[in-house]
Amino acid sequence: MTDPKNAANATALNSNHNTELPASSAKVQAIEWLTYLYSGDISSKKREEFLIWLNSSEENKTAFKRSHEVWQTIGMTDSAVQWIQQHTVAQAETVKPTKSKGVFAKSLLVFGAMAASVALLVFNGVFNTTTHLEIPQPLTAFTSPVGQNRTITLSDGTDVTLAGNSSILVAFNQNERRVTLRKGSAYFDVTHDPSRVFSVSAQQTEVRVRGTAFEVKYSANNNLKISVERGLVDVADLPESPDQEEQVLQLSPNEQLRTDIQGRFISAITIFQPETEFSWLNQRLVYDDVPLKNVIMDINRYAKKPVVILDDSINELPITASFTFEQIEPMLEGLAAAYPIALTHEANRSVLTHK
Amino acid sequence: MSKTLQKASLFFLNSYTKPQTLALTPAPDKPKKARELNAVDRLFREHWRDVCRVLHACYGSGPPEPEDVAQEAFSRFAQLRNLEKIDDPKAYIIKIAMNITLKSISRLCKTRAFIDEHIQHTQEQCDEMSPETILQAEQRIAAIQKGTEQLSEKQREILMRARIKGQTYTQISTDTGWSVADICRQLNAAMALLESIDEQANNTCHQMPATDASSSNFSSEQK
Repeated sequence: MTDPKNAANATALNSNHNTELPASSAKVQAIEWLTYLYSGDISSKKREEFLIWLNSSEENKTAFKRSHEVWQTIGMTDSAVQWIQQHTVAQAETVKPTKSKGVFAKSLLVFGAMAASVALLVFNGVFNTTTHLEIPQPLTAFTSPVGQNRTITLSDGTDVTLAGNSSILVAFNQNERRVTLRKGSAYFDVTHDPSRVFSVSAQQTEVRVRGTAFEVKYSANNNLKISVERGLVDVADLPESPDQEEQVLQLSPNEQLRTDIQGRFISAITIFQPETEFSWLNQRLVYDDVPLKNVIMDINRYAKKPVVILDDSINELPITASFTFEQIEPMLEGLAAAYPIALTHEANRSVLTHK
Repeated sequence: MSKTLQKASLFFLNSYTKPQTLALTPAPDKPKKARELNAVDRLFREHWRDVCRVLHACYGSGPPEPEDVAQEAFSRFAQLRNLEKIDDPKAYIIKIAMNITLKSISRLCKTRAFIDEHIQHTQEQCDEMSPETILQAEQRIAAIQKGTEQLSEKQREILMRARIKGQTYTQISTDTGWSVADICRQLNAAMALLESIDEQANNTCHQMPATDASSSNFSSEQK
């Protein structure tokens, strides 16, 4: 077995005969399929082979279910916690500064590096047939603090407004403009450039435009919400492996789409009210029948102390409200007065529970 | 949404509460609840940094950010009933945090969703932890715990990197220098050992006090 695929191959190739094999073989195969599926290197063809194997006998199904249960249970053991704590200590030790080398040794390293660079440049010049030297662009991170929006103008003239406690990574080059939304919410007013696509990716979703205005936002349960104000936007469900085809939906102005952590489209395209959706750009939060958990998620981008809901029964409470960033505290007090909600102020956070 | 609402300084139009929301939540035992919330608050102050540090070291700076995950983990912990039954709250919170983080790794989610689609889960296999599910699965957890203690250092390292850190074989290979084929073999062997111990424990439980000779079949095949 040289790679995970081959490991699975060894058993999957015999899947036609599985019903004839003793249960122990089913167990061994189940383990190999399980570790293959979690290996990070799987193809759709192998998935189909797995399903054939799984459905070929009840023994296979039972064995695989059991292997998966064992796999899941590992995460609940104290061994897992001990390992993660040891891992933390080990990592801390590896980043400790090492003993400084002598000046001579340092000089040798510098000269060595310079010589290697020159050799690489010569090699590139002589043997490489590319027409231009590509210098990888460093990623630039932009973040906004809790409590306020932040507006940035990127090198192509695109304006980005980050909601509070949000973060993006930017990588521009001659051929493309790539942005990654790391957390929170960002509104993009993109400068038109027909030669370079502007793309925003988050998890397994990618939004591509050439010049337009739109927002990409993390919402509850790691879902994403894409809202277009102007122009046309392509939203792509990025494929897991190269042999899969990506799905793309096009959004027009005032259209909105939701995707899940896997990039799947979890809602139909809907129409939204821009004055409500983009109210945060004007330091205001506006909600019309929105679940409390979503409201609190937004509030936590601006609140001085984090607000947590400690009662599942109020998560979905429909809230209709309008308030500025400065009115978050009185708004929370108002919530407690108008709804069956108790608000408790603790040292580090504010807590909402069912009254 | 009316324009008036846009300009309003602060008000609520809808104070309607879903009837089932009220029905589902009985009046809590206030002194006990207050005690528990105080205990959670103390845990929060004592362990918050540690939990964040552990998440940072294992999963990086996100997304999701370790601080957000830790916040969620403490919140979920606080919502549990019978908190006093949990022996090691910090370890429990770390377990919740690990599961939250792993659920945000897209590759793992897709694999999990694919598996869920094709096999039917039993209740005890449920990933969402609560004291009830923990107690139900206590025996299995103890067996798997015992199994992990019997693994070689290398097997445990590979198993934890794959299962707890959510690394691919290639990432494990890059970090450790071991070949992908070796990682694959070691992981399969580790899983076989855990399964055999789990099976033995299961058989012992169901057939006490008699010992079932067949319970050791699988483990002997591994040798």
